[in-house]
Amino acid sequence: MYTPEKLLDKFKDGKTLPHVAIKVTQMVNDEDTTMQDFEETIKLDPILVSRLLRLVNSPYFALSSKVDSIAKAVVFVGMKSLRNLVAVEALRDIFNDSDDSSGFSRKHLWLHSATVAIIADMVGKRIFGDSREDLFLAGIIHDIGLVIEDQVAGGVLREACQLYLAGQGTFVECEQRMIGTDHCEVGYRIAKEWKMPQDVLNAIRYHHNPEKEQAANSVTGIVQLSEYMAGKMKYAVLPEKIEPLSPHLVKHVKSMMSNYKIIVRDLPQEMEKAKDLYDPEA
Amino acid sequence: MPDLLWDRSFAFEQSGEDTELLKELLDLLKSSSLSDFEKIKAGLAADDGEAVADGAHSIKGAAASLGVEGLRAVAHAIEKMGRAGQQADVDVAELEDLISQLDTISI
Repeated sequence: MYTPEKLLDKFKDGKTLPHVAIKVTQMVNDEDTTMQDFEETIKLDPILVSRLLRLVNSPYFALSSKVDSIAKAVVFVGMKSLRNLVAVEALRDIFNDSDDSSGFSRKHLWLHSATVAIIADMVGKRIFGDSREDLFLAGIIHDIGLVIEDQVAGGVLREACQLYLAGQGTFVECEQRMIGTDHCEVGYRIAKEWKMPQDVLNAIRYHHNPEKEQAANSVTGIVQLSEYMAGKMKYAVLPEKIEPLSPHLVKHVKSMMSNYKIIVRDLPQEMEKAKDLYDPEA
Repeated sequence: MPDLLWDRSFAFEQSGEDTELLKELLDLLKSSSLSDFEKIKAGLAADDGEAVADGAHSIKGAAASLGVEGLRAVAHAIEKMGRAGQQADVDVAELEDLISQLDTISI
């Protein structure tokens, strides 16, 4: 059995978020950060600069002219979106650092996370008129705890998955029984070390917690809604079984069903536009 | 007439006191705002609130990053109306005027 601390200690022996990514996240939380501070920090990693510029110029942002510097990218897409892209680059490396030979697909988990991020952004804007960039970030990182569990205790995680698929409780209950903790708690703790904003931390910690009722328009509520929708559209972590939505969120979806149907209709197009973010080899 | 309410010292600080860079960024703000303005107009013509809001969101962010508070505030108001499906009530005259005033900024 593991405690969250033990899992994290073992995980950190391997891969973790690069220093530049943590620094950039921290800078965006600080109101006094200037565009120049931001650019200088990112420039410490020239490969990151070119990767970011490629993403900023990708169809996802649909910019009218080509952006060739981080300062210009700040003007066009803003510091928070760039912070999200820095996280995408760093997390993609962490998620894909596995050969998937043991049955639990990290690549699948990465696609799931990207889908939840894209849906969260759409739900925020289209349902709640909320264009906060933290929604995308919360979506892309909400299952980071699963990567840590897979890295350190992959065999036991698979046993927890089997238990869950056999109907022996919720996914989190099965994790707690087999591993001793769950991906929400582990993910929350590592994201806290990575200086993620508080609403993102809450979303990681409570996205499987139906008892702790989250307002539909909170970051946690939107991640729960997005994860459910991703599952319905075959982008679940374990597509065989989807956990039900909390009753208050069901009520909310029913009250805005026609708007949600439009999101479902438009998602494939949004996913295609965002392909450079989650599948750069495509 | 609306005012750009440009915070010059903020903009200089943002660009690390680099006049050339700031000039380039302001040119970029102008050209990107014009192109986003076209998107807003197309969104209004198509009665597409999301398209209106997306164009306005983009102007809002760019204006904020260079301290052009008047432009940011007007774009933000349009974004909110677009997201709320109230695009029929959007009047772009003020926004158009502010964008044309970007030419008058001297650094």
